[in-house]
Amino acid sequence: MSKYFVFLFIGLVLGRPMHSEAQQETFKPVQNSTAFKANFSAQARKVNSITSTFRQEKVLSLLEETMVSTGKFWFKRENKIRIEYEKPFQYLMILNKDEMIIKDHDKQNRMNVKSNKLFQQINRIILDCVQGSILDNPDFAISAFENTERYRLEMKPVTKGLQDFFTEIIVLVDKKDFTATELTMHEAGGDYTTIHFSNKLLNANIADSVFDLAQ
Amino acid sequence: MRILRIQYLILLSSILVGCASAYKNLQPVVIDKECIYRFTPQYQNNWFTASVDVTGHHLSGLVLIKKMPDGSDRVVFTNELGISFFDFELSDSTFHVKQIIGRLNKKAVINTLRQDFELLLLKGSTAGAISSYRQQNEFYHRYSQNGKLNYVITHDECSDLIRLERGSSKKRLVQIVFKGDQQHPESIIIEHFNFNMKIVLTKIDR
Repeated sequence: MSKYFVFLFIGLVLGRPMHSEAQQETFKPVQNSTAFKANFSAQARKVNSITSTFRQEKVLSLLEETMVSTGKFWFKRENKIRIEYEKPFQYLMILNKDEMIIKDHDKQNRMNVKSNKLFQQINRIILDCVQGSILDNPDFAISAFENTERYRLEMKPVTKGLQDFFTEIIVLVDKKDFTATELTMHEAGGDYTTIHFSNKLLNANIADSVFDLAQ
Repeated sequence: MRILRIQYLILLSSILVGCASAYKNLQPVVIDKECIYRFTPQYQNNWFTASVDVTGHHLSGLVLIKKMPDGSDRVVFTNELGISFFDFELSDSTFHVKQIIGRLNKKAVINTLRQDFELLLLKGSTAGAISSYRQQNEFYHRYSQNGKLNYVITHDECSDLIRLERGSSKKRLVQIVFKGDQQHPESIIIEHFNFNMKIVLTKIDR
């Protein structure tokens, strides 16, 4: 089941959506959605690889608890992803085309994405993001907003599988490079998880071996 | 032929030992009834990584165990990406599911997890009678809960905790062992014997 979220995470990260301190920013609705979609897609196609660090904050609102974790993220076209949590726990997820690899503790799991209908659905999200077509994803009702620096995508899941986990996902996208800077996943009980991306490097050469478990 | 007979006897002995009651040789002893209270965990807000293997499937995540001001405990399981799978509230007399995802919202799943964490946190241990027994060098302090028997197993009558168990009067069903001090464990291993399930919680140093 955890792989499910991996895909979603990956998809959204790749998508280049994101942010949430943005709630303190002022956004207005994107006026020309057709042009926005076209531009979003066009810009996305310019990115062939991403490396970045991330900081994740899981907030349990009622329990007044926050778990902060940090790690590294890699993307390489086509469909290669590596997400590595480094502190305060170690956890590694790799998507290499149709294969998903997860390593936690000493356990390693491999699976074919195509073997599971749910994974296929999530894989669709990933592809949409990579191709810049996330705005057309039928699994979400998406509203787009903007200010001078960022886009804000408010994504409400419309399929039951996704609604089981999220009430809304908010993604902030940097207008300079159309990559995600922050992603916030809201849950029904008021808890949420925010992932901040920083130290992004676009279109650097990333060896395929990064997407191998031997790394 | 003789070798075969010996092998048969060894096999038969193994089977008999395997089927033998785990609690057959418990001998009643009189011990301070307050004994097990000293082992009631006081996890203020402990985070653990969780590794769950159940019937051939593997799942990992994070577990928060937090003591609340009213004395209850909250047990929250999330995946590494932060999505909450379940949130339980446990006290000595009550149990509430504060949140659970649909895929886990099944009576058998909830009851299994509930009983595991009730045993870990010794919830309900003060509600009924406690009886103590000795078996070899181990002392078993027993109380009933939800139709089953929970055992707090100690050295030297009540000096330190060896492990926790849940079972019937004969069969051991679940065992919980600790690595490190039980009150501040480095890891907690919950193992089921009536079906293939094992949960390993490892403390996260933040």
